[in-house]
Amino acid sequence: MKKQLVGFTGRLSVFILALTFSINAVRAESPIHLNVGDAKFKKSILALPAFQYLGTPGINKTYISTGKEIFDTLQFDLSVSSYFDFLKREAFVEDVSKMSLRPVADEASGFNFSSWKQIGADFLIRAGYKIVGDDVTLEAYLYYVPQQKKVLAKTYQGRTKDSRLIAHTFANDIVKELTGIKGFFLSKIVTSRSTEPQQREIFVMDWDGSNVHAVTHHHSIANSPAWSADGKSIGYRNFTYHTADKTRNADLFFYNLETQERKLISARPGINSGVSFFPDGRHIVLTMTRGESPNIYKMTMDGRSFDALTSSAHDVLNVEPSVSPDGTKIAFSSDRNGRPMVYVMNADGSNVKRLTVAGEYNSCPRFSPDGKKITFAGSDKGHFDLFIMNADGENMIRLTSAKKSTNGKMSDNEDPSFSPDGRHILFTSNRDGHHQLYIVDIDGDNERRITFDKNDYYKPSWSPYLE
Amino acid sequence: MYAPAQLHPEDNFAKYIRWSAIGHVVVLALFIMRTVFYPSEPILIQHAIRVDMVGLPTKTQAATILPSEPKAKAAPKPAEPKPLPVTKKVLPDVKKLDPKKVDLRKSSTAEDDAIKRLEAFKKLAEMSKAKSQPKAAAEPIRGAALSPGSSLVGLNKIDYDDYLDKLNEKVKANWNLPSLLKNRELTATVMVYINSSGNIAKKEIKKSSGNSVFDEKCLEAIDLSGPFESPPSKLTNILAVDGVEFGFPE
Repeated sequence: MKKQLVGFTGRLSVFILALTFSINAVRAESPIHLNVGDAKFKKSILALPAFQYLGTPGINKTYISTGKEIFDTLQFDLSVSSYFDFLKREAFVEDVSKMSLRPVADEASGFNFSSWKQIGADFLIRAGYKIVGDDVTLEAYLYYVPQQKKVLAKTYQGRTKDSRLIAHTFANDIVKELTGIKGFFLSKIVTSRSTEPQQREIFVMDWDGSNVHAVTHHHSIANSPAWSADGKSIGYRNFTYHTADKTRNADLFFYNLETQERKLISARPGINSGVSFFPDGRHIVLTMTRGESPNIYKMTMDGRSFDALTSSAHDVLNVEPSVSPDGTKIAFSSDRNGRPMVYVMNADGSNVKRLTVAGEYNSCPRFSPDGKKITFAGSDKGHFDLFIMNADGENMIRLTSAKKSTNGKMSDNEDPSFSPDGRHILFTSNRDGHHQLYIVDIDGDNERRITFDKNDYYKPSWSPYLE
Repeated sequence: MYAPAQLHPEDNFAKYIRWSAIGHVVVLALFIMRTVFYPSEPILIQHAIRVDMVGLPTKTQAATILPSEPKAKAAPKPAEPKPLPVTKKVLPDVKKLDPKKVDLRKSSTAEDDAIKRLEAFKKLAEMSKAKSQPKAAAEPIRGAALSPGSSLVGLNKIDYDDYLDKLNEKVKANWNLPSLLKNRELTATVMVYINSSGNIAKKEIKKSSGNSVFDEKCLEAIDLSGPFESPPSKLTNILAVDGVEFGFPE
């Protein structure tokens, strides 16, 4: 017995010694290795010369305005993407208005990469279009200047009235090609908007504020719209007049954007509002009062059955639920500990955690599309600003801080909603007087106004990817 | 009765041996794991060379060392090695060390910041110096062709780490990526060969990221960073022949 043990341990130790030496031998042969660490990220320099008209000028008077619309739409998309800095047109050393869309190596009348390289361009977009009847054709190229390489070459066709769609599609292709991440330029916004005093309807528009159309005509107060996970339907609440008992009630409706079918989902007494859709396509979560204080409920899509997820005592708020993209968590706001703060819980209502402690009033939490971040509107000095933090409440940063152009006081920035790629946030701000729609990058850069009218907007929601 | 009184003492012995063996194996396994997954030193040294250095002769070598050291400055104080008080107590060999010590301090004028940092390590350094100095001197004597990297310990090692840190800082400062490539989690490795005057003799992608722009930006970071300072003498061969590997980002 003992001998066996000795023999065994002896062999083992020899084996281990051998192993150790071989490891050292391997290590000794590898060269010195240095970890450079994380890079600094910079925007790429993009040259976007004017688009050429490839047809016969003068035949169709709309060709100039159509070309401009495609160009402007593309430029706005790429500028919002915050991947690019644009070279000023005055810096161009080559007048490409008469040159081919391709480099001189491909075509004698082509452009020279060198003249774009010398002004520091990383990327060059060359495009031309022609209009025949009501159809527009865009021939578009994206070149990577340092490697003199064609990155993208596509032809787009459509009706002239869809020229924005063509530009958005081209922008999507560019972003997808260069980043591997889908572009959001064909996504939409749903929002509540004032129409007349004491009336709000639900409107849908392109993400950049164009192409607006109403989807409700209740002549009442419709608000808190939200997208279904597949982007085909929206849910909203409306103060509906119930003729039977002659009362108004905050009812929950669904509206299918494809079939234009409208459904009443929940008209239980009190509030039926603040809907958020589960990714499974079969459940929603919403706030209901049912004659008591507002609590959060999980409900089937048909509105027939529901379970309470919170059950706070009277006069405590549990509102504004937001389902995480994987459907496992729900963020919401509650004043159960005094002031309204952001909380998160499991999708079954268990494991409630408080995420924010600072400020006076934190509301309207929304998950990012990857579920890693939460944005919310918080008030600490009498006005609301947007904040973003990790989904566990860490690393909170303030995204907005703007004075009103009208009176110099601090403006309210509220109702945040993430873009489908999670890199931008849509919100409302009254910095220019009315509550208008704005977008901002998730690091607080590039605040831009996207609506320019005299209406007030409330509770906008950015769609998921729609195409 | 519940007492297991029947056990024979030898059974127990065998049992203990078994447990002891298992215990040893576990400990050894842990050390091996640690060696494999958490190598303690990024710079690799030929350990055999260290052994050589220990037993080396003294005074004559010290003399040879002084001139050979490129960093040695005017050396206003060729000072007697003996006077140094601190070291004597600690090490009997201190005398040999002293000359070097003096030189190093002077050399510090050339690389002030480096030396400042080193101050904290003085005592340790003295110890290791004692070992490393003799090596250099020993080479001619023993005729053993020790690689120049052999003395990457103690002060020298700190010196070299310092140089490599500077290389790395320079490259890092020049490493810019287009934000288009954010969150792509690309990695590449570039081999760089640096000649004795600090110029980049050659650079090549050792492991491509698969993305030509990313690779190009890695090479660009190297290009923009050169030329570097002249490497410490004992690092010149390593950098010129074996090269140094830059991991983007690691």
